[in-house]
Amino acid sequence: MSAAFEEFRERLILDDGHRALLRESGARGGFFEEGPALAKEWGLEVTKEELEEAHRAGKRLWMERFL
Amino acid sequence: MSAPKALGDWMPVHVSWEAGECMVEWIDFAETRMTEPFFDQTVARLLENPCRNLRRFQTGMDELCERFAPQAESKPGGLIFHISRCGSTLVAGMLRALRRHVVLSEPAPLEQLLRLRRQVKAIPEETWQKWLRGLLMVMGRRRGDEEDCWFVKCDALHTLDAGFITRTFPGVPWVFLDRDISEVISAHTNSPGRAMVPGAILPGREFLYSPPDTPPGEHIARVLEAIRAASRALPMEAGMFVDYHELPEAGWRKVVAHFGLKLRAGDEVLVREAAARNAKNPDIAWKNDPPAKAG
Repeated sequence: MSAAFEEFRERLILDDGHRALLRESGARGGFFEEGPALAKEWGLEVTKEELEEAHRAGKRLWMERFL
Repeated sequence: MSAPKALGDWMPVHVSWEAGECMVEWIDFAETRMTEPFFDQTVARLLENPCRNLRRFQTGMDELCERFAPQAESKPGGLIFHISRCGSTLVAGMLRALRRHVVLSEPAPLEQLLRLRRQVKAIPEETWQKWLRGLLMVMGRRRGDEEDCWFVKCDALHTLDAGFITRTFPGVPWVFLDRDISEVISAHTNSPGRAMVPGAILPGREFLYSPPDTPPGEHIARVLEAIRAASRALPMEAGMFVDYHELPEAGWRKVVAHFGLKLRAGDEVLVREAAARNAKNPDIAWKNDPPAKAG
C-alpha cells in the first residue's frame, strides 16, 4: 500500500470527526467512493482500488486466523 | 501507527505474540451491541463495513493495561464454564436478552491470551493475571448508558484454565454447566467440536492429543473427563453447578440468583423469549434434547 494510503488510514483512526460519517458511508456501501474524496481533502491521493484491496486483505487476514 | 489516547469505542479483537511482546489488535466497535451468539460473529459482521475494517490498529498489552484498563472500571458479574453441548450458549443468550447486560461469548482474544500463557514461558503469573484482567475489563466495559453488568462465557476447554481465570477475578461468581457425559459424546459424535476430533492439535494441551485412528468416542470422552475434572477441582466458594436438564428454568432462577442479579418488571418475559430460541441459531425454536446416550 502507498504511503498516502497508510497516512489516510492513520488519520481515519485518529480523526473522530470523520469516522462516524465514513462508518455510516461504509454501512450503506458508499465508502469506496467517499473515502478517496475525503483523502483528497486531506491532501492525499488514495484510490478506490486501494481501499477495495485493503478491505479484501483485512477480511482475508481475519478469516485466516480461524483456519 | 499511532493509537488513540482514549478508549472511546475501541475494542480488542485479537491477541498475539510478536517480537517478544504481547500485542492487541483493536477495531471500531461504535454503536455496536454484541447481539450474536458468539463475540467473533459480531466482529465478523463489523468487518463487513470497509471503514471499520480499515480502522484497525495495534497496541501492546501493557499499554492496554496501563492506558486503557483504568478507563474501564468493573469486574464481571459472572463467569460461565461448561462441558460443551450443554446449554451454555442458551444461558448466555438469556443474560444477553436484557440490554443492560453484556456477554463476552467465547471471545477469540480470551482463547489467544490463554494459549499464549501456555506457550510463552518466563512471564510471571501476576503479569498474565494483569493482562487477563485488563483485557476482559476493557472488552466488557460499560459502553452505553443502559449497560450495567458484564459476563464472560468461556469455551468448554477454558475450564482447564478456570483456576487461573477465577484467581484473576476472586469472588466473582461462576457457574459450570454440566451434562451427562454420554449425552455430550453423542452430540459431539454427530457434529464434533474442533477439539473433539482425534488427531486435533491443541496448542499447549498436548496431553489431550489422540492419534487420528483413535475411536472418536474414546477421544471425546477423554477430553470431556479432563474438563469435568478441572471443574471439580475449583474452589466452590463462588461456584455453582447447573445441569443441562434443569434448563431453561435454571437460567432465570438459579444462575440469575447465583450471579446476584435482580430481575425487574418485564425482564422474565424477555429472558423466557430468549430461552425459547435455539441459542446458536435464533431462527429455530430451542428444545431440550432427549437424553440420547452414546452407544
